[in-house]
Amino acid sequence: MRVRRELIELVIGVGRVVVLAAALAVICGIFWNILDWMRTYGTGIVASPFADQAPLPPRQRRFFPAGTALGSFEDLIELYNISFRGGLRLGSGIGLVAGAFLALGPAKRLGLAARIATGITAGSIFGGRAALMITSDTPIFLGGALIGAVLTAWYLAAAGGERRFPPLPLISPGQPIT
Amino acid sequence: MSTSASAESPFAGTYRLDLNPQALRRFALGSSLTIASLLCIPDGLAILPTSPDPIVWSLRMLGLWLTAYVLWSFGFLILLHIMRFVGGSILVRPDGIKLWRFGRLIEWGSIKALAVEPQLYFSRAFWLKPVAAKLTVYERKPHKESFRLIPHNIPSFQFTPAEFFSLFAFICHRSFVLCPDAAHVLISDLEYVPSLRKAYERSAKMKVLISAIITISLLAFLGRRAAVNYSFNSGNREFRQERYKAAEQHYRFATTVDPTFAMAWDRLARSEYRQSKTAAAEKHWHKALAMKPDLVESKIGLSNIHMLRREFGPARRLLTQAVRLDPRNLAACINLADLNLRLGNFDEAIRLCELVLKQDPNNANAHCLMARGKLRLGKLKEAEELFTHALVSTRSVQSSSFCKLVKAEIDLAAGRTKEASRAMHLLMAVSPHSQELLIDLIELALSQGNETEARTLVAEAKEHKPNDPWPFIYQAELELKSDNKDRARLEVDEAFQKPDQDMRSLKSCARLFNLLGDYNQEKRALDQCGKLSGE
Repeated sequence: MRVRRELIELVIGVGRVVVLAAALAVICGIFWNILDWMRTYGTGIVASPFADQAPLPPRQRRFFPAGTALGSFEDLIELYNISFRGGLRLGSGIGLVAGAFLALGPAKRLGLAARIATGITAGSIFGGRAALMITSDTPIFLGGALIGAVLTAWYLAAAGGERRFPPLPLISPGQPIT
Repeated sequence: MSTSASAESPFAGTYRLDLNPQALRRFALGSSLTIASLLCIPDGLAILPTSPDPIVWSLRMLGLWLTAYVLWSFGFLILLHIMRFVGGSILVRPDGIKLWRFGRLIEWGSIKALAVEPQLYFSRAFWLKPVAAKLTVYERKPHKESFRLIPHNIPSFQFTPAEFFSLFAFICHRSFVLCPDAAHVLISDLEYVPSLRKAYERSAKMKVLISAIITISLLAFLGRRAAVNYSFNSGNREFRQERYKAAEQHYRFATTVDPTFAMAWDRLARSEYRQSKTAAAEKHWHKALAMKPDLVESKIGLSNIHMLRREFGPARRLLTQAVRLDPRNLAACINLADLNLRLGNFDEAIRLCELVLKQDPNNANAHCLMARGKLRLGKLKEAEELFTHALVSTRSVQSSSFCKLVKAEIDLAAGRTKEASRAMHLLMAVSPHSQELLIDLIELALSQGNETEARTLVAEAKEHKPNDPWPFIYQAELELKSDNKDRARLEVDEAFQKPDQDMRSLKSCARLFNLLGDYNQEKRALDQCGKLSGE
């Protein structure tokens, strides 16, 4: 029964991170593309306030063979790079991080296993996206995601421990403390 | 202020007070209004040169302001939450108070004064409602033979008003056995008033000093950013209109004011490169990369210089890094095509040009590189068709020096030596130091049977680029024609020893070794060619 409850908590925690991050990535991406269009209005750099419609040539080269673990991550990065181009890219990055960040708040109330799993998911998003700001190189992306996952899982695991003391009682002006 | 007789109230437990997420969000959003407006001042000036009318300027400003607002509020909120986690909770314990995770315990008995002051200007600047306050706890610490009061500040904007008041009330109660009914107070025993006055004076002086430093830094920062961005944008305007000298001056000013501005170094180098100031361009591209090691544009620019010098190894390294950083960069793709063409990988060069043309069908360089690739593969008709098609679809083909050179090469291959000669000599007048033009002129002279001119041009090319194997190969050909086998052997040996070979030069060396009867060297040259092809 306890295991089942923990499993449900874990699915809720991880699911909340994924859903919020994905939803905000799309919303913020579109919003950022509109901002890009406004910032460069009149120059023709961003022709449309919505997604870039220009055809995209296939990748110039693969660095890891398809079907291998590293190759699959390379494909994942490629999918992200294709899906979020131009202004969408930074906006989607902000959305991804904001979504994962928002999902961390309620995760503090979950059990330890669910907190750690949620932390790993959200941290991978933080670290992986931060690495993508510098390069689309697969090993660097994985390194960033790993660092993010470890730090965030540690944060969430520790966050539950702060609750061993009760919160300070709230007092109104003039009310005696008893 | 009402006194309470609850001195012996049970305070056995420990309570925690966390920084409040809603309060932090309110602070981040409030500060963003001011910071975004301040940051937009230099940008407002900077976009003046590129904004044709007030409506365009206003729309751009709105975009810039919203961008700054979102970035600041989001970044600052994350920073506040990181601080919240690192700092931990305030712990109100039976024996004292711990203000943050790594802070030491301040015993209740050592708190000798307490002040809560409204922060009017701060609240106005950061749009905080209700007005923020600062709680200062003065702790008595022995100092030499006397004591001094050490202030510890707790700002109210980190908590909800109720939480902040409760914390204040708890400290009052535990240290002074008082229960306050007002938020803004100063509590102290009379004996500590002189020390408190000194502490206040110290903190007032510090406040003035910090305010002055912040104001001067802010003015300097905003003024500097305005000057840098204005000159950078003015440089961009001149660059787009191909006035490279004027652009160079603007970029030079931008880099003088802000030597860490990598993009300005890159643009400066680009303007210099367009004016054939290769040494300065190389230096400034290196500076750009020192400031921002992942700047793809600078890597691509530097690869051009290395390719011109036939330093194919460094060019390949730079372009591979550029493609790793930005797998879909068109300029990197074109330069890779150029590198492959120079190295003799014609099929790969053509494939890359096709990729570029799918994305940008009017790219003059891609059209001309592809035509040159076909020409090198011996497909003269296809090269001619490609070039004719490019002339129709892309106007810049007519003005590009590189495209003119390719046209001259096509004419030469088609036997139209008169047209080729006219075009090449016109280009020579514009770029007298172009090595590839010199090599083309040698071929032209050879095709016209003008050996004397060919020898003069070979000598010039050797002197101009001593590392290029091609002048030595042509010299060997000329010596073989004159039946001077010993001299030809010396020349081809020297050509083969050059460090930066391409597949065509190696094949030519192999052919010459074969003619001279040295089959071992021929095999070595072909092996090296195979290795290069594998790379």
